Amino acid sequence: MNRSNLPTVKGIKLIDYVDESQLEDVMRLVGQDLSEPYSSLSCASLQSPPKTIRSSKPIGCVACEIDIGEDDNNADQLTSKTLNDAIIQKKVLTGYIGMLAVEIPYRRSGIGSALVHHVIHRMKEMGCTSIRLETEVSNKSAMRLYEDRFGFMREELLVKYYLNWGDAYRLRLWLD
Amino acid sequence: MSAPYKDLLDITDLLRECASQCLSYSHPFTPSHDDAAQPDSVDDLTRDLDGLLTVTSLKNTGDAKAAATSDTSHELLATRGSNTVAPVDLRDAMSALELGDKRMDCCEIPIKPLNTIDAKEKKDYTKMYDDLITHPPRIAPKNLSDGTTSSPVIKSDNASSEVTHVAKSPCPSLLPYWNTLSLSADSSTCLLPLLLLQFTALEAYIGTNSGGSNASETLFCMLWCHEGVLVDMAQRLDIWAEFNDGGKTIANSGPDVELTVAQWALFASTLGIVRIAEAVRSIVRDADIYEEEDFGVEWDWGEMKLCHQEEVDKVNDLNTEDPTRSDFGFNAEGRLVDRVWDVAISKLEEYKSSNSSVDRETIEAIVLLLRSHQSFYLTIQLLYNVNEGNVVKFSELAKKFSRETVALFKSLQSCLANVAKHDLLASDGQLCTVGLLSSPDKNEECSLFLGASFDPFVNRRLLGNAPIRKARFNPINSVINSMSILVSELEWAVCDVLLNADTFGRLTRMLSNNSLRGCGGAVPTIPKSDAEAYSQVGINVLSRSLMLLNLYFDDKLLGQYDFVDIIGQNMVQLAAAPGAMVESIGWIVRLSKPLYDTLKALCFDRHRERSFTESVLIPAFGSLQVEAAAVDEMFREANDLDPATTPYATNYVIMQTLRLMERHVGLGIELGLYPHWYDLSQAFWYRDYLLTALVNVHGAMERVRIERKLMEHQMKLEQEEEEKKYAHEHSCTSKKGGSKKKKGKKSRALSTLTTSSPRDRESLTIEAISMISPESFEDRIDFTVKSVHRYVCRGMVRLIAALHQAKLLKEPPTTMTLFTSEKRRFEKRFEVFSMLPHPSRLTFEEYKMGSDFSAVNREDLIASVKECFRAGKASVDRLLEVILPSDTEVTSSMTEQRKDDDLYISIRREEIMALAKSSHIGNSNRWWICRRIIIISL
Repeated sequence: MNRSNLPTVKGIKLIDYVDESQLEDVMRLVGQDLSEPYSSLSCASLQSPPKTIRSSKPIGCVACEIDIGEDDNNADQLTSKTLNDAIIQKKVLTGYIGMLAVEIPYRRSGIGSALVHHVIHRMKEMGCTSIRLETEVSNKSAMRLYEDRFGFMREELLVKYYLNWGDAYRLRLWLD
Repeated sequence: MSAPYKDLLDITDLLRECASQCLSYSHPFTPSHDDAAQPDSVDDLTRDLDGLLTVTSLKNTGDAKAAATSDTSHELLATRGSNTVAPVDLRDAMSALELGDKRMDCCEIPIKPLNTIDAKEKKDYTKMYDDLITHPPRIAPKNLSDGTTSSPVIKSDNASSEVTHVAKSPCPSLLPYWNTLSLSADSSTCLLPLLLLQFTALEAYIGTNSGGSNASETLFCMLWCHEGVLVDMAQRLDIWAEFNDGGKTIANSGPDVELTVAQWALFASTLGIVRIAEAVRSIVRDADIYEEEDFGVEWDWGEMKLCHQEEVDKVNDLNTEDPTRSDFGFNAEGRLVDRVWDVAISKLEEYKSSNSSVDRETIEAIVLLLRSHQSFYLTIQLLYNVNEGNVVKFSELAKKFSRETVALFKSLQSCLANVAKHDLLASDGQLCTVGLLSSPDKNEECSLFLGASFDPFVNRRLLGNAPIRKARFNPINSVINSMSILVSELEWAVCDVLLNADTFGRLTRMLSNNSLRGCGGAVPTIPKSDAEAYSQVGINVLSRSLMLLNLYFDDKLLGQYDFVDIIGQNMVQLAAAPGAMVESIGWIVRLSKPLYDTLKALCFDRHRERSFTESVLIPAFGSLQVEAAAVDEMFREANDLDPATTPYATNYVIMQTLRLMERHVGLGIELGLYPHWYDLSQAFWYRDYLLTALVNVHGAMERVRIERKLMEHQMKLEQEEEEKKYAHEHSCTSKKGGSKKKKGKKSRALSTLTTSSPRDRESLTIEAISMISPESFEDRIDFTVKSVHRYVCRGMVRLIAALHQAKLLKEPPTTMTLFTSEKRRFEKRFEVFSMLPHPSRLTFEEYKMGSDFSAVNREDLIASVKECFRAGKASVDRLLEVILPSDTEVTSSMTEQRKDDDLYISIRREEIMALAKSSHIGNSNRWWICRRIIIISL
């Protein structure tokens, strides 16, 4: 799939993460919707560019990273310096979607789906073999999005994973 | 600034600045030994870490010192020497920026009391905490008189959100409450609510459902539990003098007596809670159980030792009420708390019996509570202290104590039902705001008393960068239910196993059953009201840890059996392995570790068991299979056997491997990892294959076992016949017949054999072969269950195919395969099995072929579905014939029938009935969809 085939949402512009000046918006978006308190540390540590969506203001974002390693248990975090080395050494690249948030009034218009679609495409282009994420068991809409729309598989049940005592599923998409 | 804040110091800017530069999260607080003192060294700074904010590497030390020397504050900002450059940890520094996030640090004090937030707001957790204005936490007390007598709740809404306040005082002093404790429900300082809340906090820490709350969030908030306070209580009660007096020297009446008795009860409860929590934590940590991170984190206030070295001997000399307890292997602290319980209970009993006017129900409830603490502590300590010499005795005692504890909890529950009639207790889920007395005037006093006792805003060290999980405090009835379940688990999940599991097969079955029972069993029979008290994933971490600790110790399995012998017996039992192979110690020793790990996996939560199987067990069994093949080859060469001889070692290892694989797929289904019909179809199809392989391997091994038995029997018969012939010839050649006088029982039997017809001999042989051991009977039940599962899995695959054929199932979305494919999903799902040489991993093409029924017409397909379930039902009927209800009197032998409560069988009647239900298409509402398809089709 080339870039021109990627989904778009009318009236919404997708932009790449540029610098820390955008962190405040990212914090606001993830802070208001997600059950976990994510610090700016968490956001900043996700080094692969989060994408924010802007109309007149940021209304959604997805934050992700790529880990390098023989397997997930032995993965280092990606830096731009190490990416080429990793590809040359044929190491396993694993994508990770950390946070996805869309403001409530803009939901159900395909923004979240478009964001995920873009990052999956980007990670695939960068050589990832799989992409993983965790989502709350009770978050049915998120489960539907990842499983039905993109083919993520449930890999593991994580009991009492969240601070609110919620269980989570670790999902993984095995890229072709 | 409004009146309540006149003693507060505004240090917001300073805090922010310090935090943004470098705030050590590892040691954020240090005590105020001397307000003006500057620490001389890092050691001084970190010796006792409660109390004072430590800020390192300040640029603006002037402001800090100004704050530190302010006489309006008890909080000091100590600085290190200006020459010291503290290392900057980027993570700490960045996390410190989040200091003001109420969700990151839950021990901050809301300016607006929580109980003034309306219910609507409370529902929105995020909003509630975002809207709260907070200031940093209070300092923990160091003794009963530490702190002030002011209210712990600051009542004002005028504070600005931009200002952070540091309370002048540490927590409110406990001394006034200590000196006014009462045993009467009418008093505002009645002891019972306090003790029940302490128990509630303990349950939040270790309870069945919410077990794993952090100690910081539960126990550290109980101010009476802090070390200094406990030591102070011990000194004020003069416990050593009391122990020497035998603990029974109290006057008969008067307010002082009531106070003393209440103080002892509070001391016993508090110390008991601490000791129980410490013991539980030690057990979980010693067991090093897989990923129990909730118990791995900080125990904030260290070991609380009431006995100094010079007092340890004194404790060891203490006589307990029950002299047998001196052998229980307690350490000095354990002995001390046991003695404290004895003294407190005897004082309460004596006070109750000698005063007719006392509130008997309340005192009775306190006694029951203390007794249950003591009994619970004894149970877990006994199971923690077993060794090779005492394992049976201690397990029996632990079983007795666990039953006793459950009975005590039951009595406590009914006793509290009476006490609650006085409106003594009411809880809103927070430990700090509890207590509603019948008299509204006293309600506020009671709230102050309990608020002073439980301070959720007491300062405790933060746990690294991670925010900590909120504790959940349950209503007292749920607390008692939850603890009762936990204690009864100790009986069936630990004691019963230690006392009854005498073979590897039985141990495996018992652990496997326990794992299932821990989450409600295969057929949940839990009443809806109690459902919350049960875990979704297994038995409580305490039981699992104790089981794991006692699985192998003192170089023996369960501290009683030689593991090598046990494995050898199991190989003979299951694989009919010859003695020469079993005596090959090297091979059996090689088997020990992976087999031990299979047992260990059964002690984990079910979701963790699955991960452990993937990461540890399957790779281990992959290597083991290769070695088993080599062992078989060597055995054949050494004994000059035919190459077609049964590969005993390989069969045994493959059987164990298949069990693991089958359980792995089964757990995946149970944990919801196969959510859609197309996922389930794959899982059931694979499981059917594994179960078929398992049943086949077992059948093959059973045949070998029977053949061997037959051979041995025939050899025996031939030998006996020869002996008889020889004896007959000998008697004929002798001059005088002496056979008459020696014709006893044995010779009669021999004559029967020799004189019987070939048909009789055949029937005797069959009879001899069919005589099986009790364990073989248990294995047969197990494999019958497996065959039922196989039929159900096969039926499910066909049923899904039939439903799909009838277009009753929604097709998977096409977008699913945008970045992946069905084949890739299948391969990755079962990729872990590729590590195993046998059975070879099934491919996606095989699945497609095996589950493609497009060539079969609908009627035939449904008929085959019915056939599968009907076959399953036939096996179910056979199981019901041999497993009888537990109230039935079983007259037959252990190799013919078993009772439902038999410890060694792998299925219960109710579970069989559930299988019968699922096997009986059209008879259950759950199978309405099948009925529908049948109706459509026919």
